[in-house]
Amino acid sequence: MKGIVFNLFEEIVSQQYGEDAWDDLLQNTGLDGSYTSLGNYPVEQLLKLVGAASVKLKTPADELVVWFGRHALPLLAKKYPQFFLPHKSTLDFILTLNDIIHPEVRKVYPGADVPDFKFESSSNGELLMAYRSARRLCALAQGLIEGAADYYKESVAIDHPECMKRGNEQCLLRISLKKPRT
Amino acid sequence: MCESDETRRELAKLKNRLERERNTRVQAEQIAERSLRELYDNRMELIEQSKSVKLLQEIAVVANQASSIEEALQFTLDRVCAHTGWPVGHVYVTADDSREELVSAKIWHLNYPERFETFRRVSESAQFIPGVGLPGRVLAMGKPAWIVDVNKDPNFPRAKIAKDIGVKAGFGFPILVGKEVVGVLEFFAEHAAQPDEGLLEIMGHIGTQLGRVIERKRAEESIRKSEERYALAISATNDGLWDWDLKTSKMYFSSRWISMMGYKHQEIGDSTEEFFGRVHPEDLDRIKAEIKAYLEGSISLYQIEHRIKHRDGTYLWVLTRGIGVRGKDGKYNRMVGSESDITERKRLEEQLMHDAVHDSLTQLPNRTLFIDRVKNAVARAKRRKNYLFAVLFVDLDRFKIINDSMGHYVGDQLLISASRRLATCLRQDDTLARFGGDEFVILLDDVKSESDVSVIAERMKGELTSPFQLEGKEVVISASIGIALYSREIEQAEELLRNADVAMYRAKARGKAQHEIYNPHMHLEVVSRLETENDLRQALDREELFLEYQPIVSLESGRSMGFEALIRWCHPQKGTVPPMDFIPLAEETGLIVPIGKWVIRKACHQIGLWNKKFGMDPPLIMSVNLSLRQILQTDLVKQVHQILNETGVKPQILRLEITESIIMENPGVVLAALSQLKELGIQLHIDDFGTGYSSLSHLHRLPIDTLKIDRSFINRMETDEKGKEIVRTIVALAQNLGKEVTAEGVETAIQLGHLRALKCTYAQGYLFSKPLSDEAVERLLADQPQW
Repeated sequence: MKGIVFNLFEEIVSQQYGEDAWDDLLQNTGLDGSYTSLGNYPVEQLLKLVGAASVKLKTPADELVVWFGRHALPLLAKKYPQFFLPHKSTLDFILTLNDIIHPEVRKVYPGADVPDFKFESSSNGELLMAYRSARRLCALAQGLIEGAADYYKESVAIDHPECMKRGNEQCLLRISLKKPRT
Repeated sequence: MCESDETRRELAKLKNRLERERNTRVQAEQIAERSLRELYDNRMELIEQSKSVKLLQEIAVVANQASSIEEALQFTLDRVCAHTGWPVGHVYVTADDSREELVSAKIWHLNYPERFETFRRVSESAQFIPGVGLPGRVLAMGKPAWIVDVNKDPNFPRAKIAKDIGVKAGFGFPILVGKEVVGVLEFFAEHAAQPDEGLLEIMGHIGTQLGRVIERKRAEESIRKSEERYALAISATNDGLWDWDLKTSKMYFSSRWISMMGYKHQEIGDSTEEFFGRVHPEDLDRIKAEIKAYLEGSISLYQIEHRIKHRDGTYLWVLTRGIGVRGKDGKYNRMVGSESDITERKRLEEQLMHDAVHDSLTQLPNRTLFIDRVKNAVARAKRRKNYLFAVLFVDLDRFKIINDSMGHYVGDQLLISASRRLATCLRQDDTLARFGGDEFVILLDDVKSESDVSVIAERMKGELTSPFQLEGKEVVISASIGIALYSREIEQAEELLRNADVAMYRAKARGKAQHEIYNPHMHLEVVSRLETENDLRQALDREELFLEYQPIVSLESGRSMGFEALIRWCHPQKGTVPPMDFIPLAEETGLIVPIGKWVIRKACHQIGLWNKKFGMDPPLIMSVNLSLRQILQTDLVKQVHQILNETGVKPQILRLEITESIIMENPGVVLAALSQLKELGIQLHIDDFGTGYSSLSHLHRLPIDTLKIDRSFINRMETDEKGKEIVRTIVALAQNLGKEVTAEGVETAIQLGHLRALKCTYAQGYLFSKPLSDEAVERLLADQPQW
C-alpha cells in the first residue's frame, strides 16, 4: 500500500478530529507512523488503523472507509488537478481511471498495485463497474466515487449487487446519476 | 509562570520544527515524484518510439508482400488496433475516377463485431466529401487528423450512432500516392483521448508506405488488364474486341472489330454509341437487359447473339461475349469482350429453320408453320373485335389418278403449277401452305365477310380450270374447297383446320369443283360418315357383306343366260344399307379395292358352283362391276387371273362392267387396263351407256363386247318417243360396231316388246326378276322359267 494513502488518512483524521486523534490511533495500534508518499507499506497497517478508528469513532469499518474515500478525493483533486479538470461529470472521470489515472500512478510509483476496473455503460446512463482485488477495498472505491460526485456537483446512487465480501467473485458497483444538484 | 512560558515557547518551536519537517518531506516527495515521472516518461518514450518503429517496419514488410491491396490494408488495421488498443479500424477509398469522394472499402478491424454492427453499416453506406467528418478532414488536408471525443465534435456526421454504441476518440490518416489521397484509415476508441502527436507521425509514415504498395499493385493490375485483353485476343484472333469503361462510358474497339464493321480505324470513335448505335433495334433491349443482369450478378456469363449493322447497311450476326472487371471498391467498372461474326452459321440455321417449316417441293409453308400462323390469327381474333379470318382446305380433284397414271414427276409439276396459280389469288398477308399430297391450305387474313371468302374461293377454282401444260401433255384438273371462318367458339387452331377439312369433304361429296362453307351440322355428318367408314372396314371380316344376283335374260330365247352380281351390306344395327350409302364411301376411302376383289372372287365361286350343279349349256355367265380405283390397281389383271385359277372359272364366264363416265374421264389408263383384261379372254361391258358422252371414236377403239343402255332411257321408252329413238339409235350403233346390247331396268311388258322389236340382245329388270339370294337363284335355275 502506497504511503500516500496513509498520508491522506492522517490528513483527514487530523482535520476532522484533531492531531491528537491520529497520535492516539498510532499509539493504539503500536505503529510508528512514519509514512512517505513514495514509500510502500503493508496494507495490514492501514487496516489496523481503520480498525482502531472504527472502535474509537464507534463506526463500522466499511462505513469508515467510505467516509475516508469521500474526503480523500478533494485532496487528490487539489494535488493532481490535471486529472480532474478536463472532465465535467463523475462518470466521464471514472472512465479515465484505467487508461489515464492509473497509468500515471504507475509512472510515479513504480510497482504500484493499482486495481483494474471493468466498465460497462448501459443505454439508460448507468455505469457498471467491476472491481477485483485481494485488498477488497470496494468501500474505498465507493467513497472515492461519492467524493468525485461531490467534486462535479452531481448526485449519484451506488448499488452494490455483487461483493467479494459476500462471497461473489468480484465486486460490482452500479453507479447511476440522479438529477444534478441545484 | 516563567517555566510555563518557556515550555510554551519550546512547544511552539517544536511545532514549527515539526511543520518545517513535514513541509520538507512533502517538498522532497514532490521533487522525487517529478523526477520519477520524467524518468518514466523518458524511458516510455524510448519504448514507444521503438514500438512505433517496429510497427512501421512490420507493416511495411507485410504490406509489400501482400497478395492484394485488401490484404495489406487488413493487416494494417489489425496491427494499428493492436498497437493502440483501440477496438475499431476502417478503410475508405476514393471513389473511382474522383478524388472528391470517399466510400467504404468494407475492410474493418472490429474487436466486438456484433457490438459495432450498426456503426459498420452506417459507415459503409456513408460517403464523405472533402472536409466532412473525420475521413473528409483527412482527405482535404492530406494529413492525419485527431478527434478527442466525436460526441463533442461539431463535424462528425456519425455522431448519433457513435454516441449510441460508445465511440469517443478517433483519428485518421491518409494513404498517399505522391500527393494524391487514395484512401483514408480511421480508428476509434471507446474513451475520449488527447492527441498523440508521436502516434500520428508514425501513422503518417504508414500511410505513405501503403501508398507505395497501392501504386505498385495498380501497376500490376494494369498489366493484368492488358494481359486479359491480350488473352481475349489470342483466344479469338478473328474476333473483334471491345473494352468498355463503365464510369466514363468510353469504349475501345480493336482494329479487327472496326474492320468487321467495314470501317477504317480513324472512322470509329470511342463512344458507346459506336456499338449500341449499330445494334439492330429489335435486339437492343435484349442486350441491355443481359448486360444489366450480368452486372447485377444474376447471370454469370454475358453471352448473346445479335445483329449489328455493317457499313454497307446489311446486318451481321455476331456472338458477343464479355466479362466484367471489378474496381477496388469491388464493383464492376469495366467490361471487356469479343465479337465473333456468326452470319454464315446463322444463315445455315435460318435455312434449317426455313426447311423445317416449309414444303420442299413447293417451298410453301408446311403444316407446322401454317398451324403456327393460324394460332397467331386465333390469338389476334381474341384480342381484336371485328377481326375475321378464314381457313381454306383445297383438294385437287383426281390428283391421285393423274399422279398414278402420268407419273410422279408430272404430279409434282402439277402441284407446283397449281400452287403458283393459287398464290395469285391471295394477298400479301395470306398464307398458302401445303400439307402434303394434293392438300393445300390457305389462311385468309383479315377478311370482311363470308362472301369475301367465297369470292376468293371462286377465283381460285377459276384459276385452276384452264389446262396445265406438263411435259407436253395437257392436264385438266379442278379443286374442291372447304372453308372455315373463325368464330368466337374457336379456341384452337386445329379446330379450324378440322372444320375446313370437313367442309372440303362435303364439297367433294357434292361433286367436283365445289366449295362449301363449314357449319356445325357438317361435323355431325362427318362423324356419322366416320362411323360408317369404320363399320365398313370391319364389314368384310365380320362377313356382313353378301351378294345378290339379278338374272340377265336373253331376249332371243327368253331364258336367263346369266346374272349380274350386286353387293349388299347387312349392318348389325342399321340393317340393310343401300349400296348408294356405302359404295361412294368405299370408293373415297379405297376400301373398294379389297371389297371389289372379294366380290369378284365370291361371284366367280358362285357361278362355278351353279354351272357345275345345273350343267347349263351354254354355261351361265356372271357380270361384276369394276370401280375406277380397282382399274387403277397395277396388279388388277393378275388378281383376276388368280381368282379365275382358284375358282376354276373360265374367263369367258366372267364379264366385267365399267361405267361410261369412268372410261371417258380416264381414257388412257382405262383403255390400257381393259386391253389387258380382254387379253385374258374376259368379256367387257360399258355400264350406264348413254350418260357419259362417249365420243364415237373412243367407243370404236375400246375392247368392249356389250353396251348396257342406262335405265333412264328404258324408262322413257313408253312415254316419250324421243326416249324410244335414243334406245333405237344405241342398239343400231352397237349392231354397227359389232357389239351386243343389254337393256337395264326393264319393268313392263311394253318395254320388253319394244326391245324385242329393236332386236336388243339382252335385258334385265324387275319385269323378269329382282336381285335374288343364292337360294332364290337355285330355285330359279331349277324352275327354268321362260320369259
